[in-house]
Amino acid sequence: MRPFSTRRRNRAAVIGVVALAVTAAACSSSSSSSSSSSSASSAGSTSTAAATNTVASQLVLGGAPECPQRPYCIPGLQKSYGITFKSFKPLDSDGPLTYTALTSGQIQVALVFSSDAQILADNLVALNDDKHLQNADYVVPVIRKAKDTPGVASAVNAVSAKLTTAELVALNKSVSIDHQDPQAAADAWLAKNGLATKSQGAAGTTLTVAGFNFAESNVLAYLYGDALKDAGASVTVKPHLGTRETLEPGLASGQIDLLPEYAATALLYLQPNANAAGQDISGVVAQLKPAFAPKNIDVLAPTNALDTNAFAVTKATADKYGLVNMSDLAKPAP
Amino acid sequence: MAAAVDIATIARWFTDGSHWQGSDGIPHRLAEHLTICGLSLAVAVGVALPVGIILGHLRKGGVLAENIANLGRAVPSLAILIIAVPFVGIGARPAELALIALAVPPLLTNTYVGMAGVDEDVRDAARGLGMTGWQMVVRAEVPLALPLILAGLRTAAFQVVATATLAAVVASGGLGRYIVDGLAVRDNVEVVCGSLLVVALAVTVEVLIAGIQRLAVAAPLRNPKSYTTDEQLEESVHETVLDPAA
Amino acid sequence: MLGASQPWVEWSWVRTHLHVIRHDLWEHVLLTLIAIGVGLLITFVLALGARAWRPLEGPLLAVCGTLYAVPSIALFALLVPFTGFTTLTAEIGLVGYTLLILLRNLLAGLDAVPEDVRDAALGMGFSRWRLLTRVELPLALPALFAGIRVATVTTIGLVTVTVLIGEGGLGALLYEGFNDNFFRTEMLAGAVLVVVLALAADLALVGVERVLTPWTRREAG
Repeated sequence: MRPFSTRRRNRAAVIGVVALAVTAAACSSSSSSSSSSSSASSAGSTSTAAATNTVASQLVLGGAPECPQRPYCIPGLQKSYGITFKSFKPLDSDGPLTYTALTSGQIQVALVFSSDAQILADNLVALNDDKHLQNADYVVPVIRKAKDTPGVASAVNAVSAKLTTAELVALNKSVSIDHQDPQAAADAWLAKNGLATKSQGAAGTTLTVAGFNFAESNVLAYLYGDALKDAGASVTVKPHLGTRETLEPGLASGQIDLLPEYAATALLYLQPNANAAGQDISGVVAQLKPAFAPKNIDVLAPTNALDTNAFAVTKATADKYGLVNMSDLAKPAP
Repeated sequence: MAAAVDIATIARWFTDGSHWQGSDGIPHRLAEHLTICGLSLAVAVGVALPVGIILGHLRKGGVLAENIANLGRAVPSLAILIIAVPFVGIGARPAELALIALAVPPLLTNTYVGMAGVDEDVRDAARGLGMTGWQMVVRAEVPLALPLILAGLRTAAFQVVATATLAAVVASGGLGRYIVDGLAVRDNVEVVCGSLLVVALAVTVEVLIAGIQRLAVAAPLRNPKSYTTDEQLEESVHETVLDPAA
Repeated sequence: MLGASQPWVEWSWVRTHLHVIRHDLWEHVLLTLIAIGVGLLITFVLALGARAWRPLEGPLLAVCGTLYAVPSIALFALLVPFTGFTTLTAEIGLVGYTLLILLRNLLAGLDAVPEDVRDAALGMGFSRWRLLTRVELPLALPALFAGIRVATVTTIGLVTVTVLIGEGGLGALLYEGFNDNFFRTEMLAGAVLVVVLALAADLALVGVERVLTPWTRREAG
């Protein structure tokens, strides 16, 4: 980027700022809530009382950038456990940045996903969620009503029936640790579980299957996508598409058709005041269906694969502060 | 869930008190950004200037020095940033490496061309006065090469400040965090505000160094067109790299 | 070292992923070609405008310069709220970045046409249009080509950044390898190929320039 001359530069800058302002003004519509704008700041400030001399207040939390806005993360930690961390470092969604930051000491507590094989591989300790902040986050595929044909549903449900937590962890391991391609890992799993035989049950339908921006979701996307392909459907898989802010609108608008969701988190995203705490999967799904219904989205059968949010520390940190449960973080700092 | 981007929401973002305090506040991110940029520039100057001065004085290695800016352009900063991670980890380190690699080429090329472009008559005169090589460099050549060297610094500084935004991708701090984190959660207001902050900072740095250029370089030397080669074609090519002060 | 105990190049991965590499390489080339093509088109139109009405030149260069000044990720990010995570967003940004270099070089080239050559042509009865197309543009070609070279190499580098808004070309190899637990082979594939592509493009353009403007070599030689 090489500028040309100072005077022109300054003129250019002024014109640029004016142009930006005009464009922004021209595109203005009635602005909706700006709750998103004070997002990442809430973590850094020490506004709330109780949490000032706990173990947590000495530790830095790190994880997905949306953590400060999610009920299962910073706001929930404050509400359910009464803890506020020293600060929050935005990293990635259960990805290499988060794990590296944790193992190299740049953060002391990491927001991770409980089914990630990296937790074991890095010898980390996932703290026990004794106050049940995290919920029945079983994988549950959601699909646009228009694409919910019997053939499609039966292909998807066949996969869901065989997916357990152990299977999910194994799939994650082959991708994240053994460097297998998500699609190859998914196809191998389908073959192993007798789900790769070709049929024509879903023939005639075209579907776009999407995954969130973390590895496990992409394996799941290929799992369902390729199963549907084997059932005769015409499928496009779009992995790594983004967070719920991108995918929920995409689902509602028809840009994507099928999404492997996580039951409790999806429910709280759609209805922040829903009663998800302490509910088992059927209780959550019972609330999830009417929550999705107005958007013409159906909820298919849930799996037995649990992947909930968890907070992990290194073994050293756990030993140092005697951390086994999440409420141990609320103990007074030594 | 995402707010619309308009003057009102942008103004609201900037006037929100919580955006000015804490580890994700503007002052802290600004400080992080400047620290990374300052360190990288300092190292780049420390590497490129001595090499450029020596090579330019000796009139050696011209082909490499003149073309390194072109070669540097061929290596995208994001690539260096990412490849550096297995070597130096995540955070500020890979960012600094990538920024140093970004800043060295324009500094080196400009310094070399500035030094090598010093009129032979001036050098003869200096030799005639009995100056040693070192004295020639310090008292005759560098002052004459200063316009181009500072132009290179301006280019390098601007690029460094702008590219430091990418550092957020490898878990570094800095103003780029607003853009990367905002993109992640589709908080368009945060993205736009972060971008505005980066542009403002880049322009400020530009103007500051242009000011230094004006102060440091004597008026008669401010237009160094005589130090580039004759053909206007090469001049327009070099302008992209060397860019003398207005 | 992070992700250690893996070799830098796992050739088996390369062999089984040639199609991915080829796809990303092609996407990268395509994004670049479109950006340069559209950029050239717009540049010509703008240059004609600036020639037709002189006062336009300053503001035009100022606007292009402003675009160039915005850091790449910021520019793409600024566009996303309006044009989404699409190829269009990437291309608007990429084209924007080419404009300053191309326009400035083309105008400089046109300005460099010697006055006497212009007078001679006008004296021979050339219309403004013929003057432009038969005399000025060909003579401005070397300057324009210098700009195309710089713009192409710069664009190739910038395409990698578009991975952050969902495009990417070879940047996808780089970034996906990064996200896949710092998978070295994939990251290296992206990085090496991008540099090779940029250098190859530069060399190719030098060759094309030689062919298109043989008189510059004769002058210099």
